[in-house]
Amino acid sequence: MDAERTVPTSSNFINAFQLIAMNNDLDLSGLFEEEDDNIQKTKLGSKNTISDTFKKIEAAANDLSLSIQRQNNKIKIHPGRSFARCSRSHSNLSAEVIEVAPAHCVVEICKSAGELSVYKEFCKSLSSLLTEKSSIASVAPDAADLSDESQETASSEEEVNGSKDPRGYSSS
Amino acid sequence: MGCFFSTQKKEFLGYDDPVTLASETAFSVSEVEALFELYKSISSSLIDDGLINKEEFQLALFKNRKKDNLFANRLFYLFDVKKKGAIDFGDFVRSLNVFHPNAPQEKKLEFSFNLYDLDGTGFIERHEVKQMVIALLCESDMNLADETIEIILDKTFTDADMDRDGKIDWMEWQNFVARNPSLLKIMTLPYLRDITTTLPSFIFNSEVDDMAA
Repeated sequence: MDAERTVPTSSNFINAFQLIAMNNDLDLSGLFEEEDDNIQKTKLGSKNTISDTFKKIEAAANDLSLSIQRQNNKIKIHPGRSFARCSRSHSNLSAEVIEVAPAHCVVEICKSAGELSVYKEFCKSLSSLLTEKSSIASVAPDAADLSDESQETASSEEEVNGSKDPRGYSSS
Repeated sequence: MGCFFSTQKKEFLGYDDPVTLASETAFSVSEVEALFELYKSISSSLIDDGLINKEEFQLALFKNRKKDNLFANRLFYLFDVKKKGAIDFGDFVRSLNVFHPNAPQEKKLEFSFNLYDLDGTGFIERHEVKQMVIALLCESDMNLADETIEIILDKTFTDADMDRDGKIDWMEWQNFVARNPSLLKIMTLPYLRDITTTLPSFIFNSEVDDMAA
């Protein structure tokens, strides 16, 4: 077992000290940084499994026409074409998922460059997706959660075709 | 101390000779001098008395974002090495030294143990760990059922509390961290490896050049 990874593999329950270490209050780098509006961090709770949490992150990004790139437990989020009007094209926005218990994750959203508005909209979008009970979301991938597991494979075909359709269901 | 240091420094309480501090820590003389610039800035932010009090410490760490909180209190207490209610320059450098990438593991272990031993009993007790976990969950606006928190604590203590007395002692902590080295990651600040280039530029002034070599 790789002791360096913060995400437990065999057990779904995080170690209490790993959880505590995530607290921003323990980060002394604030001593060395000027107040920098460029750097923003938010933590959101997710009462979902780790894979469902990733799906919701992807959905939140899709809702805002942002493109994503997944690296292990971190998703890098880039502005899509609709944000090309920014004079500063460099944007550094990421969402990291840490599993705390079998159906509980913490998502840390971090922005170190780029537009504040994109960051805020993304946080808002993800936050509402994470707190939704049933998944009548605007993006089809969550529609799979409404149907029972036996229909999941059929729904995934709908995802490909119907991702832009807010009603979610396309007849196949 | 040496008469070639500017008088301004002599006015600072607890100002220690950079050469001495450098010899006791992983910092070079010029890095200690750079830390002094940072120290001056923090110690004068609220009360210009040459010492860092609790409010100034919190302000420096959290800017305006946080009020009194669990870890800020404990960190202040640990940085206040002489336990006189304020952090002097020597305390500041010696405490930051613990976070230097080259600082000995032992120092990091000791600091982290003392950090988590919130009430200073010499043991990290279950209720303290619970308190710290809850603090993190509040920060994430996350509601975990008490039952789930208890399971996390159970698992942690099964791993760490070898004599099953409900608390983690110093030996158990050393052993636990040896098996989970990533737990000490918070005890290292990569910034410290090259302070002279990483400190915010507004802190630097020509005084560094004025100092005798």
